[in-house]
Formats: sequence, structure tokens, C-alpha cells
Amino acid sequence: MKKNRVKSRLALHVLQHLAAIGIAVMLGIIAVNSNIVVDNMYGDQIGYRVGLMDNAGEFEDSRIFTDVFRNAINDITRLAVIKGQLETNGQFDGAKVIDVTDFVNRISRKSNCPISAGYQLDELIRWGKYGLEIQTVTFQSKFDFIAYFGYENIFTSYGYSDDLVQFGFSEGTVSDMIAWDIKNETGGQEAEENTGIWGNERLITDFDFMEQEEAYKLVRECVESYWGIDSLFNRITTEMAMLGKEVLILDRGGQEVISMEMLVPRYATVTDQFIAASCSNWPEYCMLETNVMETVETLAYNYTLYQNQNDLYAQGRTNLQFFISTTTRSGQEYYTNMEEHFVRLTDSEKTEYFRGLGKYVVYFTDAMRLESNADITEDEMFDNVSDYEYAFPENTKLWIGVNTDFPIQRDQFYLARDTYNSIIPHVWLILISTGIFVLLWLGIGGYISYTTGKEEEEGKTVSKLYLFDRLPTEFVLALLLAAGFGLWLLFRFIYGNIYDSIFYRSSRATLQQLAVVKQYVLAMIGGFGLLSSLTVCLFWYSFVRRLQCGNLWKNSIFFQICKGIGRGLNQVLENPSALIRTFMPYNIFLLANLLCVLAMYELREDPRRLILLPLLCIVILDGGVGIYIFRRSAERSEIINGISRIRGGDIGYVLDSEHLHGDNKELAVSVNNMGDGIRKAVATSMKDERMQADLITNVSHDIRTPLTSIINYVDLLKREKITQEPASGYITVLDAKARRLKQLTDDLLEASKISSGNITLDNSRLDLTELVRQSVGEFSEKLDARRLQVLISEPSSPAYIYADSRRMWRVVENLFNNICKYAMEGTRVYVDLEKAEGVITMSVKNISETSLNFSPDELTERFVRGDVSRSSEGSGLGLSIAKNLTELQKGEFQIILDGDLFKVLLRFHEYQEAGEEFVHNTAVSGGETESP
Amino acid sequence: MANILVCDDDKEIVEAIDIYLCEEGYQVYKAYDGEQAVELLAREQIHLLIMDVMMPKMDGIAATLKIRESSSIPIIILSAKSEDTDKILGLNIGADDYVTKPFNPLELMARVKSNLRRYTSLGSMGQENTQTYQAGGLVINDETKEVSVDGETVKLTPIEYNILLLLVKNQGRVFSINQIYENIWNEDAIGADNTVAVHIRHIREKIEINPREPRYLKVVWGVGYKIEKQDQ
Repeated sequence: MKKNRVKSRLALHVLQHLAAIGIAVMLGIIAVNSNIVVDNMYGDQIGYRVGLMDNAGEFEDSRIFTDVFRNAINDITRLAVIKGQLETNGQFDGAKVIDVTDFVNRISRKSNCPISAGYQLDELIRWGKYGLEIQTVTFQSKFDFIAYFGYENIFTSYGYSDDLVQFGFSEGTVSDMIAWDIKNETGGQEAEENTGIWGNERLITDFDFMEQEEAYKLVRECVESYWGIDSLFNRITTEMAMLGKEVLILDRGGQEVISMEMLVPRYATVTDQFIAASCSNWPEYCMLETNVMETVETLAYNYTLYQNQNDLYAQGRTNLQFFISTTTRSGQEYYTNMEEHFVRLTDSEKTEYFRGLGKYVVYFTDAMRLESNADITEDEMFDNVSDYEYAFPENTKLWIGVNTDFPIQRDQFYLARDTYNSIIPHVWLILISTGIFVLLWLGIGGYISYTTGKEEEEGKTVSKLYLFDRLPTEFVLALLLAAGFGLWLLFRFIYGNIYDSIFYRSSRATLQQLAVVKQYVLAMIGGFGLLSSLTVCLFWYSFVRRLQCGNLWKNSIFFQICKGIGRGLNQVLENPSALIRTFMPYNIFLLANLLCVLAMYELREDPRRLILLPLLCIVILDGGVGIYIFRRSAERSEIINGISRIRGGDIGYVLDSEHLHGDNKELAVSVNNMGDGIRKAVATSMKDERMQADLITNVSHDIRTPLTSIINYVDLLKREKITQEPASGYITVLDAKARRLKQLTDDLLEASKISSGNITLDNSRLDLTELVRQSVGEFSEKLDARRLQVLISEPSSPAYIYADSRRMWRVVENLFNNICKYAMEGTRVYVDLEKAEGVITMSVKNISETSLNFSPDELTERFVRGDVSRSSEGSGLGLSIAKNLTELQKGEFQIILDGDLFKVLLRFHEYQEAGEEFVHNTAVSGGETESP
Repeated sequence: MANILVCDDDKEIVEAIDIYLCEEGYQVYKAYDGEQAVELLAREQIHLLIMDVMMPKMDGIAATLKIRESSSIPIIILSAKSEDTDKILGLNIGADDYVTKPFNPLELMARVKSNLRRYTSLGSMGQENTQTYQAGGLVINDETKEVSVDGETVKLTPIEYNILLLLVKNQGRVFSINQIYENIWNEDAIGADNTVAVHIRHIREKIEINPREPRYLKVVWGVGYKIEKQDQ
């Protein structure tokens, strides 16, 4: 019955955890199958989520399709722009010349640079891939800086007469030479040593035209006199600062140097010049440098996108098809991933073709016309196109479509469709089964919560706690937190695993591989569900059981602490005198000490050595308290000693309370009073005992006198030889009963004496073997009368014990009397003596005549006879007396009843052999104690 | 015949003892307290006194002390007090025998006779020949192989006689069963059964008035047997 209940409860638990696994797996299926991640043109991945309620029927009508499609359109428009930049007639053209200023102007419309430079496309891209390199350049003087672009330019650029043009240099400028020098930097080791390099800076001193020293001087004087060098320098640098270039004046060993950062010209222009060479002054240089840098960076980035894009949207690799045509100044241009012949179709034919693809967008920018069967608006398309207005003039036409037969199996549309199809058609099934599992889990949980810890015991419902429920509440709470944290970590791990193994690989793995990985992840999620359910159930059910038994609070450590504090407070409140007596002096003592220490601290530098005063105080105070405490505890231990003496049986002990003090004195007086009480009680009880024994003695004496008359007159009657019946029969009865009465009074007296301990033992060495033989001799006739055969087995050496010989005889005599009365006639009696390990055991066995239907204890109890109906001879005290006497002599007396076997075991310690002389004396003195 | 004074405050007991003593042919005087007994002793020729301890006016102990001041007749104390201390007290103050109530009338008679014999024949114990061994009232004549207790001849079997002779010859010494066996049978004691113990009991039954409380042949339980050394 109970076993069945346990089984069914176990089954319920298992079912609940299975439901939890179900919930986890269902949620896992949703999580695993509702996300896809695909590569995008920027080289990273983009995730899409399948909306569970996005149940449009066909994949092409779903939101996820629209999302993917929309992003693809965005990609395509961008791609078309890049293609325009990098391609000529649909092919990548590395030799294409890019005019940097023009390029920057088109993409950002911000530069008003008056000069430009043309670079070859592939060189720009390579430059971008190697990275732009910036170098710090220094000039030795402000004039050198100003004159960097040549004397001629100083005057033309800064608006002065043509009179000075004659000083110009027809062939090349300074900057050309410098640039050349920088370009050959690796080979310029020697030059560096000569010119004195500061770090990685380059010092511009290398004027080749120094032979024209005079010209240099003249120009310098000219500049100084006309503008002033400082003034001109300030004008130039201010202008440069506005263009974002900083020029620093540094102090190098007392000499003023000019420092600034310049781009290292890795490649030359198509006219084989370097940047500075195209410029005639500093502001121009700054603008051109900026343009070059921007062009390089943009093109390098676009080239990367171009490479990705071509992979993604190349013909035969995607289900998406596009055709974009524009008309620019250079004529008709188109970008497509379609067959060559498509170009030759008319616009309406193209539109017709795209309509047949399934999903499509046709957009003519000039007409603001959008034709689409997808959820794409004209605004979106306009935004896409207008971002790249420079690339898409108003006559741009776009055809973009997706082949919804999905012939290509490895693109983002196909992947999205696969995911969509794997979940959306079953979404209701999954949701409903999740719901069922949740209901099942909750239902079983509710039922178990209701029944847990309740057990039927004898028709009553009993709340039961398991071992776990007895742990302190806080400990369990900590366990719960730890378990929760563990689950959280596990969740994070599984979540990371989902991303790692599914999403980030989904664009690369095959669908079969993906399916295997998904199953693995689902198994993990199922396991997670099981673990969560186990944890939740363990703690929740324990919580419920604790609530039922009400030990949630009582079993907490906090409660125990509160209880302890409460108890302590109670104790203090109940004994206010102890509080006052202990705490007050203690606090005063502490305070005094503190004051003294403070005083010592205050007086520590006192010149009159007043510090000794508080020190003295502290020594006297602490010493006094120490002596007081020592004396108290010494007195206390004296009292404890006295109490343990009284407890140990020394009831006459009295504490000397005169020299004790305070509490201890009271305590000692109380202990003495208690001792008095105990003494009185003991005296009373001893008196009672003695009175009882005396009473029995007196009563038996008083009985004896009339008994003497009865016995004597019965004897006289017997002498009358009355033969007349029934008188002679009566006399026989009288005779027997009188004798029995005599026996009874004797035994009663003896038993009373023994049990009150009112006898003195006269111990000596005696041989149990001898005693047994003597006893058998004494009883030989009685035994013969009942045809009882005694078989004695004795040890080879005498069995000496130390006992009172007459009392031992009494013991053995009682045993034999018992045998003679109750043993079955004609049976054997076994008396076995054994010596083993200092113990002598004597066993007496006989077969009882009647069945022994009582316990051994009853036999040795006073006045209890084995069987009342057996015989009227005994007093019922024989075995009791024997047992008491044995125990008085430090022996053991045990009665064993086994069927009809009546067995008595006597155990004594063996007497340790002393000298022969001693033995003899003992024997003699033993004899002398016999009463005459 | 001898005159015997019986003194007890219980008249019935006095009457019963009177009957038994008269049957034996003694002249009986009766007293019911200690004072009467002392008075009667002064007036009459009394040979033996049987006296209770607990009596009104003068108790048995006081009476015995008083009587011993002037007389040496045998006194048998008859008391309900059976303690060892009571017996020792009674015997120490001058009583010759101590019988506890309730008593066996036959035993009391035997003790009366025994005490009278010792009292009257005390003077004739002078002549001793070498072949006679004596322990109190127990006399063994080894020449005639006769044993008498308080003058009365006792009949013993040869083995009983030899055992008794061994014990009497070595008065006060305790013999264990094995020692007795070896001395009498001249055999190794191994395998000795309870024959000796049975013989001893038979001897006691023959020479003792009350075998359970022997005067001569005493049992030292767990040690052996001996004849008590008697004060002459």
C-alpha cells in the first residue's frame, strides 16, 4: 500500500521533469529555428529573426523575406556606386585615372581646392591597403618654412609685384627635391647622419641651391622688409590651422625650429609628380593632401566591399537579379549580374521579365515610379538612391527581383526560406505542445506541492520533513543562489553555443551539418530544462514542506541567533541583581582604567613626572581587583570541593563558612543547610530500616513463645497415642503446621537480618569442593529418600574462595533443600565446579518435577515460591536468602530456567594463594568462630 | 532423683516441661519470674535450673548473675532469642547451656540429663589411664574401644570409631575429607566420594544431642571437621 504510493509519487516526479524537458526543447526549437545569420557586403554578418506570428503562408510574403530583400536592394545600390567607381564597361579597371579633387567633390561636395592631381586607381587602392603614412617634418627657420614652395611663389601667392619673379627657379622646386629625398628614405641613411636627425623627424636643410646664396639672402631681405617674416609666417599658419593643419614652433637647443606633420607620398601622380610639387603654397598643399587621403581611404574601403559584393551577388550565386542603368556625361552605363543580352531589351521588356521572377522592384527615379509586389515603398527606394546622388542621376532606372523558385541553394534567401519553412508551418503545434507541457508541469507541481511532506499514519495526516528540509534556511537560501548562478552560467554557455554553432556558421555550413548541430544544441537545452526543473522542484517543495511544518523561520540561523539574544536578555532581566553586581563594578573598573590611561596620556610629557600618579592608581586598582577575583575563585573552588565531597557520600562534611565572603558565604551556608537535610534524610531512612528489622525481630520473638507451647502440647498429645480417627489425623496436621510456622519465623528473621545488612561476615579461605562434598554428605539421606543421584565434577586443584564458611553452608544448604523438595524423583543432580581466569563457577542443575512457569526473578523475591502447590514445607525464602548471602559475600547468584531444567550459577573470585602458614591459621580461626 | 526448677512467665510452657520432667522421674519446682526462682533456690535443694530470659520483675540474665553468686548448679537458659549475641551473653554470665524456643522437648530432656551427669560426676573424673582420650563429656577408651558421652555409652562402627579417635587424638585440628580418608583407609584420596561426610554425620547423630548444633564434632564448612578443644 505504502510502497505503491511511493512508486506513484516517484512516477509523478519523473513525469514533471519530462514535461520540463519538453518545455525546454520546444522553446529551444523556436530559438534555434527562428534565427538566421547571413554574410553581408560589409564583410560581417547580419541576423534575421523569424517572427513567430509572421504566418503569411508563403515565404515570399513573409516579413523576413521582405527584410532580406530590403537589405539586398540597399546592398545593390551601393554596389552599383562602387562599380561606377572601379569599373570600366563592367570590368575592374586598375589603370583608370582618378582625379582626387574631383572624386572628393563628387562624394562629399565640400572641397574648393583649386588644384588637383590624378592617380592611377590600382595605386590608390594599394596605397590604402598599405596605409597612409604621416611624418613629422621640421624647418630650421620660419623663412625656410615660408620659402618651402620657392621664392617665386612667395610673391605670386601672397600678392606682390612681378618684379621679383626673376629670382624664381625655372627647373623644379625645392619641394620636388625634398619629396624625392623622402621617397628614397631607406637609402638616405647617409644624409640623415649629415643633417642631424631628431627622432624620426626630417630636417629640411638640404637646399641644393645654396650656391645661389645671394639670391636666398636677397629674397629673405625682401620678405623681411615687405611683410616681415613673423607676420607672413603667422598669416600662413593661421590659414593652415583653418584647414586643419597645425604648425608648431619648437625650441631646440636655443634655436627656433618649425615642426609639422606631412603625408608621405607613396605614389606619384600620373604626371609623375608628388603632392607638394603640384602646389604653389601651403594652403593649397593642405587641401590637396586632405583630398588624396580621403580618396585613398574611400577607394580602399570600397574595393573591399566590391570584392565581397561580387561574391555575394555574382551571377549564379544568388537568386537575386538586378539591372541598373544610368546615363551620365560619359554616356549610358549599366550595372547588372545578368546575361549580356539583357542589355539590349527595352525597358518594358525588362520590366516584364522581372515581373516573372516572383518578387521584384522596378524603380525609375525621374518618373518617381515604383512598381513592386514586395512590401517596399517609393520613399525607401528614393532614400537608397539619393544617398548616392552623384552616382545616380535622375534618369537612373533600377530593376531588382528575386527568383522565388530559388534555384540557387546557398544564398541568404534560400537559407531564410529553409529556416522559415522549418518553423512557421509547425508553429501552432510547437506553441500548443509547449502550452500543454507548461500546464502539465504546473499541474503536477501544484499537486505535489499540495501533497508533499504529508503522510498517512494511522489514519492521520502527518507533516513530514526530509533531511534536506532540516538544513538551516539561510544555508538553503545560499544553495539556491549558488544553484541559480550555476544555471545562469549554464544558460550563458548554451546561449553562446547557439550563436557559435548555429548562427555564425550558418552561412558557411551545409544544411545537413546545421541540422546535426541543432540537434546537439537541442539536447543541451533539454538537459538545461531538466536541471532547472530539478532545482526549482527541490527548493520549492522543500519550501512548501517547511511552510507546512512551520520551520521555515524556526530553522533559520537568524532565528537561533535571535533566540540566543532573547534568552540572554531574559537572563539579565530576570536577575537584575546579578546585572548590578557584575556589570556595574565591571564598567566602573573599565572606566577607571580608561581614565587612568587617558590621564597618563595627557601627562606623558609633564616635567614633574605626574604621570606616576595615574600609573600608581592603575597598579593599585588592578592589583586589588586581581586579588579580589583570585580570592573569590579560591573560595568558590573550596565550596565546589565540599559539594563534591558531600556528593561522593561524605554526608557529614560541613563547609567552614566563617572565613568566606559575600556570595560565597551565602552559598556555603546554603550548601551546609542542604547537607543537614541530606544527613537528616539519611538518618531517618536508616532509622526506619533499623526499626523495620527490629520490628520483625521482636515480632518473631513474640511469636516464638506461644509457638513453643503449641509445639510442646502437640508433642504431648502425640504421646497420648491417640489412635482414634479423625483425632490422630488432626494431631498430624497440627504437628506439621506448627513446625512450618517455626521454620517460617526462623527464615523471616534471617531474611530480614540479611536484607537490612545487619550481619557481620567472618571471612576466611574455604574450598568449595570440600563444601560441596560435605553438603552432599549431610543431605545423603534426604537425597536417597527421593532417589536423587548427585554427580559432582570438580577441578583438579582446590577451589579456594574467600567467604564466611557458615553463610556459604547456608547458601549450599538452601540449594540442596530446594533440590530435595522440588527435583523430580529418581533423576540426577549435577554439581559442576569450574575455575577459569580467576573466577570459580559452581553450577547446580536438576530436573524440576513440575513445570517451571515463572521467571527466575520471581524465585528470589521474598515470599515468592516457585509453585505454591508443590509443597508446604518451604517458606519461599530459601533462594532469596541464598542469593542475598551470595551477593553479600561478593559473589554472583543466577538462576536459569530452561524447560524443566533448573540451574543455579554461583560465581566467586578465586582466592589468591598466600603462604602455607597463613592458610593453616585461617583454617583454624575459621573453626574457632563456630558457636559452641 | 534430682530436683529441677523451671522458671518461665508462660505457665503453659512451665506445665509442659513439668510433664516431660515428671515422666523422666525428676522432682519439679515451678517459678514464674526471676525473684521467685531466686527465693526457691534459697529455700529448696535444687540440682538444675531451666530459666527463661524475658520475664517480669527480674529477668533471666539478672537472676543467673544473682544465683551464680552463691551456687554452681547447672543452668539451662531457655529463650526465644536465637541470636549468636544472645547465646554468647547467656553462656558468658554463667549459664551452662542455651536452648532456643521453640524447642524440641526430647532435646531439652537430653540436655538436662547431660548437664546433671556432668554436674554429679564431675568429681569422679580424676582417674585417667593412658589409653583414655577425653574431650569434655566425650570419653574414648582405646583399650576397650568404648565411647561414652556424659557417661552414657555410645555404639559406633569400626570406621566411625577410627574417625572419631583420629579427631579426638588431634583435638582442635581440622581434618579435610581427603586427610581423613587417607588416615583411615590408608589409601590415596583421589576419587574419594562423600563416604567420609556421611560417616561424620552418622557419628554426630550418635554423640550429639542436636546434630545440627554439635557440641563436640564440629563441621568447618568448606575446610573439614574437628573436635573442639574443651575447657576442663
